[in-house]
Amino acid sequence: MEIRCCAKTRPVVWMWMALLLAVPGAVLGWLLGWWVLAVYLAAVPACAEGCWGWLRSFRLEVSDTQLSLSSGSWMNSTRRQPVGALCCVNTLQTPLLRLVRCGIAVLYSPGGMWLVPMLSMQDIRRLEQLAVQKGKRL
Amino acid sequence: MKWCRFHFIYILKYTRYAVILSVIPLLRALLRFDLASLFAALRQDGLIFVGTALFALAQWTASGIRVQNGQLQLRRGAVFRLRVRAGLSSIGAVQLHRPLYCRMVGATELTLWDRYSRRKYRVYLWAGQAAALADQVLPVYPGRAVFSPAGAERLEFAVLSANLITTGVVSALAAQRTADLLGEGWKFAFGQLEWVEQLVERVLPTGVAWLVTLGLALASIAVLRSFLHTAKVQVCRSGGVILSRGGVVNKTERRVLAAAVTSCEVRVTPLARLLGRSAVYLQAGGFHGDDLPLLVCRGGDDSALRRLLPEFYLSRSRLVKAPGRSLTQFLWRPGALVLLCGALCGVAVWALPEMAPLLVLPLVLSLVGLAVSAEAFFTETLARTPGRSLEIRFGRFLTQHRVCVFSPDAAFVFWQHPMLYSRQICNVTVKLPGGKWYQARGIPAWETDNLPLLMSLSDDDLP
Repeated sequence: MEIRCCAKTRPVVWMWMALLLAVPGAVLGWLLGWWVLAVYLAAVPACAEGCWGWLRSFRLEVSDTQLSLSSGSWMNSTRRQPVGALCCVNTLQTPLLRLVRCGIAVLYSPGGMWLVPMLSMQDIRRLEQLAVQKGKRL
Repeated sequence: MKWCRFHFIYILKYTRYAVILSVIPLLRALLRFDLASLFAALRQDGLIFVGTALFALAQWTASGIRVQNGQLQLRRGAVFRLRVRAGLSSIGAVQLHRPLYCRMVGATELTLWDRYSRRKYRVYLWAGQAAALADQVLPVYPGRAVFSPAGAERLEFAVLSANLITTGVVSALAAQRTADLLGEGWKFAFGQLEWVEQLVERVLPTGVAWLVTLGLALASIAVLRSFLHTAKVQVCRSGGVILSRGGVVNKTERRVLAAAVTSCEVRVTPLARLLGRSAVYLQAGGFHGDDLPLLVCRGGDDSALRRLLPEFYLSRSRLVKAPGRSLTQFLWRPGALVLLCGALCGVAVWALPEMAPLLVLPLVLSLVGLAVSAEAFFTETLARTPGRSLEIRFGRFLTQHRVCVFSPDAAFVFWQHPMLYSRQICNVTVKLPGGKWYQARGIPAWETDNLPLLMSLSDDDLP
């Protein structure tokens, strides 16, 4: 089973990036001149697409024996552990993510915590079931 | 079982700052023979002390610990209440520590570590209550000692257990506190050091003599402290529990559940290479045990350790074949340090010749670091071994670490940047329950593909 970032969250990422860039842009624009805000707004699409590309690179692979989470393209990081070590799955949701029925999954295991961003609630439910069926009960 | 109320020494946790704040103005007034300020300080201190004592008393009465229905239950706090319930099976290690101040009032500091996370619970109980509680959590029976150092081995154990950095920091803090309290009196202690320095100066240049004197003083304190901590140490396996007890002034007893041991680490320091013995440290979930080694073993002879942990295995082969491994990745940090120290030495020889001997010491240390990193280039590895364990060998700073990982719950992080990707190698971080992690560099990517899977297979199932 392969789980990836849900395509429905793309507008949410765009909105976050726009907010993150536009607020300091507005302040700096008011202080330095409106051309600064224009530059900031022009940067929004590039930053949002970059961020979305990075989020899309998160790939969670679930087999009978192990969980594997890889992320990044040119700075590649892969995390693997036995399925049996999974303790529980928590879900974080912001209002925008709830609107598109998505969330951020937090996978807990004795070896630490994993964050898998922008998953659909359907995928999160599958992970929760996996934790209950095959995971470690503490 | 009834709630065991904490020992009243628990109150000191809240009152110690009040005591420190109260004692310093009193001492100053006493030393100056100023009666008016002495009475003012007494009144002020009395108020602070009563307020803190009342708060601490409320905290103390609301706190307790007990074992019931296979659960460890802990409650603490009067205003902000904390209640903890943990299954006894989740406790991986227990420590009964009796420093001198606790022994004088019949108390024991009891610490319990979780085996799956870095959680730990620390309480102060009466000695009898603490021992009874530890027996309920991890019971032990008298067993034959596997390691009880005597003679030269005892000295080697003390020397390898001594931590110069910790002792240095503690000594510096103690000297500062003493200077605050006694004013000019502390200079007497440094007077003695100056006398030793004058002796060393007959052999070495002035700057180096001072460094050597300071190093000797710190090493002496560290070894003496370690000698007291490691006196009468006995390590044995009692059923499924590894028991280690010892100490003269401060008595320590550690019980580690063998099934909860996540890793066992052999540290080969430069001093260990000179002595031909290495210190062995044990980790069990949240219990890291970095302050005191479990035992020392002769290079290559791990029979004592195998009697404690039958699954322990470290391979004999030293050199590792790792095609594509980059020498730069291993040597750039110590190499840069050697270059910096060398450049400083060169400048000192040219501009300040009297300072040059002082800079030789860091240069020598960085050269040792460079040698350890060069050794790591040929020996750093991460491989599955017989006995369902994993061996990690790596070098950091001046020490070579050889680790045997037992936990099947380890998580592996494989990291590649474009340079590593082009060489088909990666850096691997092994994350263990309890927050401990180890990193091995330059491991061939194809070797790491099935690592978690291999950890969960038995020897018979291995391909």
